[in-house]
Amino acid sequence: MAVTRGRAASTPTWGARLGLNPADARLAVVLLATALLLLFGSWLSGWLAAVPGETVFLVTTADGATRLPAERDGRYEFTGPAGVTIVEVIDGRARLGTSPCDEPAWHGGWIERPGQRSVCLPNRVVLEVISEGGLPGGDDGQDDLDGVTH
Amino acid sequence: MIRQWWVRLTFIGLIAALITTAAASGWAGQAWDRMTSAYERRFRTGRATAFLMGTYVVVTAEGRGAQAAVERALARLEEVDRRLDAFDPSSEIALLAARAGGEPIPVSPDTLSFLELSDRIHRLSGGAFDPTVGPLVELWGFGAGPSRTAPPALSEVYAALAAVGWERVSWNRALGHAGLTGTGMSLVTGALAKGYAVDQAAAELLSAGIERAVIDAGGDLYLLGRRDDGGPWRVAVSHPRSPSYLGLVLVPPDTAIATSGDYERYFEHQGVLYHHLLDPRTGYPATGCLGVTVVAPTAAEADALATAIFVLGPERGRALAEDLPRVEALIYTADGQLVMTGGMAAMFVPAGGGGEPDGGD
Repeated sequence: MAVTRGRAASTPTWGARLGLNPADARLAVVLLATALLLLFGSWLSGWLAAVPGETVFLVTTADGATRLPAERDGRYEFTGPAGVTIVEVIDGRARLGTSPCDEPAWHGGWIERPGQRSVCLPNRVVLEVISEGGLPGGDDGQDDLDGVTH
Repeated sequence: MIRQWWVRLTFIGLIAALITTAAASGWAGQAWDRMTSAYERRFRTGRATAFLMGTYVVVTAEGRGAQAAVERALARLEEVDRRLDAFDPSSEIALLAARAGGEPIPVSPDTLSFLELSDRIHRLSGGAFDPTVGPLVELWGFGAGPSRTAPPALSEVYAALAAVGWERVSWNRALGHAGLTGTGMSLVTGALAKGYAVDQAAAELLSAGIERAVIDAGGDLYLLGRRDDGGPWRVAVSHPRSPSYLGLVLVPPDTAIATSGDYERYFEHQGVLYHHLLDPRTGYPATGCLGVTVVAPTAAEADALATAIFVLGPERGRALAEDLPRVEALIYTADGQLVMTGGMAAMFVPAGGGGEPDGGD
């Protein structure tokens, strides 16, 4: 009785099943590997690019700092020496809502870019947009502000 | 046949290897940049904040030992604030007022520097900048006392004006003392002390070897070094009457920018807005401007000149800024016009002009 080693001679290779000769099959393997490598490189590049400079809303009170994610809408209460300050986050923007401040009413706008800030001095509440780590404007692009003079 | 497919495979393989190597080296470079950037952010940046000088102060820096440096800078800001805060009864400025009309008292080099810088801006502005407006500021309800809902009587303004006059401030650096020679006199430090404190903090950062930093004291900024991308710093200017921005000032390295506006402290009476930027010559809130932004080599100059130009009004204010080296001014006039110096026109990007922030709505 003959002993068959390895793949049975009668079993066609996957290349043969697809109608490819051995040379074309090897070529296909090389091209597929190259494509996969390119895909992996592309993903790796995007992943690394997303790591630094995440934009968050930072609320600072006498009790410490709280990070509010920009992508989650919400209404948050912060208590200070003068009362309660409401911080609203909607559609990636934030603002000081109801607050015991003597700031001009026209300075209560929405903020959304790193470097922007709203302050309720009497209540010691600060809302700011920060790019985590680095300077206010950082190196996250031309659109960022390094500060606001007022 | 065998030779043929090996030749084909080698040829294709070489091309694939070349493509892969080129792409991988690009990604590796990018990945390296990202990793070093992440490292810089984590280990070479510092940030410290505090409520000081009646405002919110933020110091951010990049460089070796950045966190320790920003904390030292903040400590220096606190030290200057303790000495120059007119509202703190234990400060040297408050003690000067308490001893007004009497003998000079010993003061720190910071107080002497404040007086010397004030003297310079007072002279340059022809008296429009005068920290001795303390009695007027109290009268109008913008000081430590109760606030007002209506303007004071003319006779009260004249009485307060009698205690105003820079020529009655004396100091001697060699002896380390200063005094107010008229009874009832007091100093207002808000228009220069904040800027001076910012400069002192910047000096701390420089001496610590910091390469790049932003010191922001409630909108008075000093921008140390170059921005990351090598371009100018980008500072938005608040609109005096809306939550939007007037535009963007592209600020050169190692420069300060500050703004004075009538919206900072004010009250309204019978439809008229009375604000805290008082003209020391008339005793009444200055008219002509709603907001003035100044770019200058130091924060003390930017801070004090913004007030001086506000008091002088658009035309004389612009002329003053044009006469001073490395000083530029942006003036939002009472009738809603933008007046600016030649240098400011080159560094200002108005809202709606492309690339500038729109601000909130």
